[in-house]
Amino acid sequence: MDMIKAQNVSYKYIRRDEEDRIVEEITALNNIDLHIPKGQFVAVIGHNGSGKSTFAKHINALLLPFDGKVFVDGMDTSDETVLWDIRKKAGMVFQNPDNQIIASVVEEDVAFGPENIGIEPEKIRERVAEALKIVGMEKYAKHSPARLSGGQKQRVAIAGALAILPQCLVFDESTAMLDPVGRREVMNVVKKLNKEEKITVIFITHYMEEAAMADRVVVMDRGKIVMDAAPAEVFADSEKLSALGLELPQAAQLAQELRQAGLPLCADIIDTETLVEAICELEKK
Amino acid sequence: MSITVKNISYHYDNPGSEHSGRQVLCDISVSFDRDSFTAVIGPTGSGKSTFIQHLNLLLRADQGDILYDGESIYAQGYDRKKLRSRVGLVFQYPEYQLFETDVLSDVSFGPKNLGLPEDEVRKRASQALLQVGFSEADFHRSPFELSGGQKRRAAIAGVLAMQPEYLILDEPAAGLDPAGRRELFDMLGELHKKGGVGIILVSHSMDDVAKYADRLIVLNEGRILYDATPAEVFSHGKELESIGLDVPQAAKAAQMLRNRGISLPEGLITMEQVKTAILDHFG
Repeated sequence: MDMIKAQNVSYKYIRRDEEDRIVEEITALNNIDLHIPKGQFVAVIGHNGSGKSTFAKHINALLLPFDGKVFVDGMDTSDETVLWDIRKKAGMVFQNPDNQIIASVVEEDVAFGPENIGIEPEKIRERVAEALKIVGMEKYAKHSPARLSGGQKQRVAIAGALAILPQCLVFDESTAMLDPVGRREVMNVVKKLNKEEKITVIFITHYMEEAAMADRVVVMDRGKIVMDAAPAEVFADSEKLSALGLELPQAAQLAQELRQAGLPLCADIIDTETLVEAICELEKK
Repeated sequence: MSITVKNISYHYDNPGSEHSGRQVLCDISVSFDRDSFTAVIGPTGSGKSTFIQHLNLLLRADQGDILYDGESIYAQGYDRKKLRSRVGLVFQYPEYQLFETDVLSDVSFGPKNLGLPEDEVRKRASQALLQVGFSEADFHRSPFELSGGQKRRAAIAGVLAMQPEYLILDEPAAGLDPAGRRELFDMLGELHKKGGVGIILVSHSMDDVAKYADRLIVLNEGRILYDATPAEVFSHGKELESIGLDVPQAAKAAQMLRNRGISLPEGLITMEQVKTAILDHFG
């Protein structure tokens, strides 16, 4: 069963002048076809302006396609009667944690979503406690968000999305503004949500190392999907990636250069652990 | 043309704000010269952005002093405008500040404001655009047609056109795709190599600073924890991790290999160095 089904989706940004005349049309999505099964962890990569965020905004009906259809768990995003069902099903976490946190106490912030959809207070308390526990922030329930680190704030934002009990979460460059430990904290939470809570994850990132952790990598270029495969397969084609403004994860890059220098390392190394294992094997021989 | 920071402290003071009264910088002393490519690293909230904003007087310390070229920038009658043309600051996401109809006009804005004659303004703006990797064919494109990386570089050209002695950048590669990120850092590396501009930047990428900077300043809770070469700083992996930082991936890979009994020299922090060391080992 597909959580997300995009059929021939196209979208244009239209710029108008003061008199409302169209000055410019920019095609942001060009005939996208993508099926994401329930429970999958999909990374979406691509250069700035490739259409990643525009696509993400189609998943919870923030944007509607000009052509084609997007279905979320079978619900058509252009059907207004199911709009709130779709937004309950698919949550979003954005780039800047400071723009997503509104309340002055962590648990109130997390409660905002369920309050908004009219959940009864008793249930809200349960959901908030559970969501904070999942992201490892239960100790900070009564704290002010202002004093948290970037990674902690972003985990509170994730808890806020979780409190509406979504089955799918879209992360739009949610690690871009974090320090290294903050990035790691968020990645660990994302992996846990996918593995333990069975949440379908769509993870947009510019960090190739993060994309390498997904089940599947979708590469976008000028509004189209140009690669769609397992990470090891996508990261096997360094020339194509480089032409698309992307690069290999560093471990894959190092493995490739070592291979070119004559070391017999296999072609599917994309993370540091595997690379270290492979080099230790060579040492034994 | 050195910058000398002497025992500065700073606390936020806006009544009503939750941060009011919070000490952000604590007794910081450090100096910079124009030969250096310095990266300031630290966890979120460590005071990095606050610190660099002191260097061109956007913020003023509560205590301590900052000398530019031996002269206190806090002295009465000190020429702030001149300081700001010498110490150019590029904010986070500077492309949001592009506003002119073409790239060249946008970059001309700063030097025009200095009151320079028209041909000098054009000369400086063109030069700055060439420095950041634009070709003349792109000078008259609208800033809005540019890619994310190009916009970022155009915004940096706007600061370079002031011909500053120091270029200070707050997370210049944030949000850029890998190619844009590399172009930007290569461009800064080139600027530094050519000489004449001291570079001070804030970054969250340990990999980038390992590759490009020759000096690292580590801030934590408003104090300087380390001020040394990247190799020296990244030898303190445990301490860095305990404050929210990390070592570069290359250093991590090298350490994992050492732990498994493969003898590699210490102090490897870039992939290039690790590659050479592995090849030597198997050589």
